[in-house]
Amino acid sequence: MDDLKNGPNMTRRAFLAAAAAVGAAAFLYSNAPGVAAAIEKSGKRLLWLRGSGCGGCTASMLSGGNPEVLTALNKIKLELAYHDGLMGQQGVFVDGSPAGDSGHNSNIRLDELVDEGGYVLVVEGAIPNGPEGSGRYCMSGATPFKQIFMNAAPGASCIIALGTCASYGGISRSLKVADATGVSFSGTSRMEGAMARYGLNNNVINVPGCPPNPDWLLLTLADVLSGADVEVDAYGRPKAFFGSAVHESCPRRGAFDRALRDDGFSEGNCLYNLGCKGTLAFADCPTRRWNDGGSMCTQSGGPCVACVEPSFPDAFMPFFSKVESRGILGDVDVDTGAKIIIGATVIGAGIHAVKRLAIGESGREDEKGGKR
Amino acid sequence: MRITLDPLTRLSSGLRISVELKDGFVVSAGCSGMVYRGLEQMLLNKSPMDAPYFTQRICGMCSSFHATASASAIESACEATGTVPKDALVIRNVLNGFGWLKSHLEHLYLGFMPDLADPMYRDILNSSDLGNLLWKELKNRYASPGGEACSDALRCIRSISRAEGILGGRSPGSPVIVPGGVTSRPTRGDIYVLKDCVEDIKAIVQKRLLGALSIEEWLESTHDNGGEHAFKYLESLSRDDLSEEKGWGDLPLFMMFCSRMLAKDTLSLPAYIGLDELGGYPLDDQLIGFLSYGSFYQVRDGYAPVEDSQAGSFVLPAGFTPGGLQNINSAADRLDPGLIVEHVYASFYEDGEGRTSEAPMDEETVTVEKADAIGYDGIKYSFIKAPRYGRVPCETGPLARLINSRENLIVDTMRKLGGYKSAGYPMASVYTRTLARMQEALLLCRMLQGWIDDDLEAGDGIRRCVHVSPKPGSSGRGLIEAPRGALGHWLRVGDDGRISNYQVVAPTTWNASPKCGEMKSGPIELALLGCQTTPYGYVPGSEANPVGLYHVVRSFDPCVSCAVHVIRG
Ligand code: SF4
Ligand code: SF4
Repeated sequence: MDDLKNGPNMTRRAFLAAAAAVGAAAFLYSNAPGVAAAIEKSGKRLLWLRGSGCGGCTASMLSGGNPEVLTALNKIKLELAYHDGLMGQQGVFVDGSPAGDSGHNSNIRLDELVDEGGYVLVVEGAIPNGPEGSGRYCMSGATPFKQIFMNAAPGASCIIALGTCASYGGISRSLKVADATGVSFSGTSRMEGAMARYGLNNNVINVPGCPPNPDWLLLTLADVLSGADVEVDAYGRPKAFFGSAVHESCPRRGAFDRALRDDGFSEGNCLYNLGCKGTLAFADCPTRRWNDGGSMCTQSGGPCVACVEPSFPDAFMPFFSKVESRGILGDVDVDTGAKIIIGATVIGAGIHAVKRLAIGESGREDEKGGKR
Repeated sequence: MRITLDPLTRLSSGLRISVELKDGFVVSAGCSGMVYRGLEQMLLNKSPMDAPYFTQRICGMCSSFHATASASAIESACEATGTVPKDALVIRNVLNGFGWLKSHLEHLYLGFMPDLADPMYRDILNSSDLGNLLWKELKNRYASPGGEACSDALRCIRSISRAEGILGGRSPGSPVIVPGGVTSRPTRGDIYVLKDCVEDIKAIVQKRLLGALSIEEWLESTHDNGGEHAFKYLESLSRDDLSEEKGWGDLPLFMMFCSRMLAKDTLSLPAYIGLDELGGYPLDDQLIGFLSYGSFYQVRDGYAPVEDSQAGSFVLPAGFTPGGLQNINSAADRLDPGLIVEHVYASFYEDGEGRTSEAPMDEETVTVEKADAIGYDGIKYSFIKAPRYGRVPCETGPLARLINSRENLIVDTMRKLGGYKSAGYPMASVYTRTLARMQEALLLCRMLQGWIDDDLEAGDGIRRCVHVSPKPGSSGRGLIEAPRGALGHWLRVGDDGRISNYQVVAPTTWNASPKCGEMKSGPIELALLGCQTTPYGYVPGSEANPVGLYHVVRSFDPCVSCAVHVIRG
């Protein structure tokens, strides 16, 4: 990887800064030859595995920004070598034995790729261990997904956990009996993530979001492939995208600061009273925006549900309850709960700090006075 | 010989198909969902208002449909369906319409059509000049990756998503559909951008599906006036040049050359792929039916839940048509939601009290929690349950919808197929299923344009949401159509005001259902019976690449993330 660092003719810092500052389109178009040259040398393949999830990450990548993911991958000459939703092959068994060759059979194709090694592994969806440690709540090609993951992980030069399910367990972790975790975390715990659980130790980068913004993946990929050390936060997320709270640059921030807060949907002001968790969610949605830069959750009047956070969704439900209401922390002790949710950013902060964070900056209490 | 497709790719992951062949024909078929997430269990004890955001994460392709069904279930529990403002319903229509069109394009061009560019067809079609021409088109258009159609579709998907984002904040996973209405307030500027997007989307869909005719021209002659016009049009096109410019858009090309009845029997053409012989059912009212719940609100304030005067509430009507061909000659039956039950006989669940079937709202089933109980060769072989309408397994999706609305092109095509020289082709087949999806994509373009040009309004004074709050002890259901078919959410609120039961029966739960307590097969299983490994029968080596089976299963556009559901009592 070392010689790649000079590939794109950019220092690593400059690369990161550039990647963070512009959308994937602008970045990839202006740097595509460099990135492609770097990747060509490394002969990189992308192996994309899907576990227990909703397919939304892939759907988001296709719905994506500009360019959408397939064109973008093509642009940076990255070969999507395995993706069960998009590939030509399928798993075929005749009388129980794998049939044909890797040109037709996806299972054979996967085995060959894993044997060769040296790919970037994208994991979408959580990794269920249940029931009874069998992993059979999620199977493919007569193999539990957890086994497929364990086979593929060691040969990966880098693993990208795409989406909140793969990063932290997400929605799929909510069902206890499934015993599902993310790749390197389960919620906020590294000890309980699949890597620790199965004794694996590759480099993992988390690109959370339910679903994630396609830019986050594309730029992280470009970054990784160019040999950059992607700078990540305590939850393994690239700081470039997950460094500041949604609340910081929210399009409704002006309304918030003037204490204009809605108590019903579609009224046009700040969504704080409707349960917006933008104060607790660290992502650049307001500046990057979604679907070709058109809009984002709070802009369209939908409260942020902190879909990029390790404790999503449990810690943020009920979705329409105000941040400082005790209820949102569920059974968790209020002080600890606050720490878990906002993590390293506000270590030691109790619920009052959350409240200060959320409404204190405007210097006055909500005019309409916490009805909810 | 046993052929097992595991995983069947190019759909949402986790589908396994296993068939037993005798003398080259499928004699038994099993369809298994292999991923279990248990979303409904997660919803127990949660706030009912959270359900739309939560359940939209059942499926990344169908997020706005789940949100809509869930919001409807809550609105029905609050007896508020009549009060949801018109402007909210228009926005829901537009968001669902875009999502629906996107889903159809993804399925057609990233899922189904690439199988038509399988090299097996090159080897069969090269025996005639027309065949060579046809193969060239199939390969250039549908090969994945690299085919023109695939890259056009990706461009269109991006445009649609951009449009969805403008109204929905983001796509997928838009937060704007909430109980009582929607959250977004499009500006006049937003509406102009949307109009621009629609032009762009229509241009791609028109070029792809029709080639020469405009969407309006095609719908006027076929949808409004019947299938005969389409057949005549196909016959008038040049057979020396099968390009889009000569009128051979994907729809005409498919309609002509993927039908043995049209291409070979009627016109004696030397090149065809017999998808109209593939994936049909025995015509028996007890073995199969076609079910739809109705979708897209009429543009006015409020809507009625399906049990009341639903006929007037939806643009695409709800209905049920039993399987026999003769039934399409009279109107569809009125939908009776009370007839919907689910079985777990062949599914990895234990029924609480040994009953064979339950209405969704009364269900108390327990997931197997023993690893040994999860195998795919026993009596229980799927995480998908077996829903039945009365006692009948149902196909749901574009074909069922167009049958239940007695859409002219589809009904006339089915009549022609079913009545062909008394030999008869199956009226539901890979062919009609796919044709219905294409026709529906065109209809969606027309509807979307209407809503955006005529009904979508900007301005601050417009009401787009009413306040709803589900009462303890209430219950409700939301039945709508998603691209893949009938989607139902059922919800009960406990005395503590939290969710005490939640059930989803999704389109693929119907289509990919395993056997029920009466040992009746689900639609995909039934459609596989009697199939061979290719549309031309058995071809040496085809057991390792049974394209015929791919066509049948993919023609249903299965989506396993949506299909698997359970509740633990
Ligand atoms: S509370 Fe939410 S809506 Fe209000 S300014 Fe912050 S992020 Fe935006
Ligand atoms: S605004 Fe909040 S809920 Fe929306 S995508 Fe960003 S982090 Fe997720």
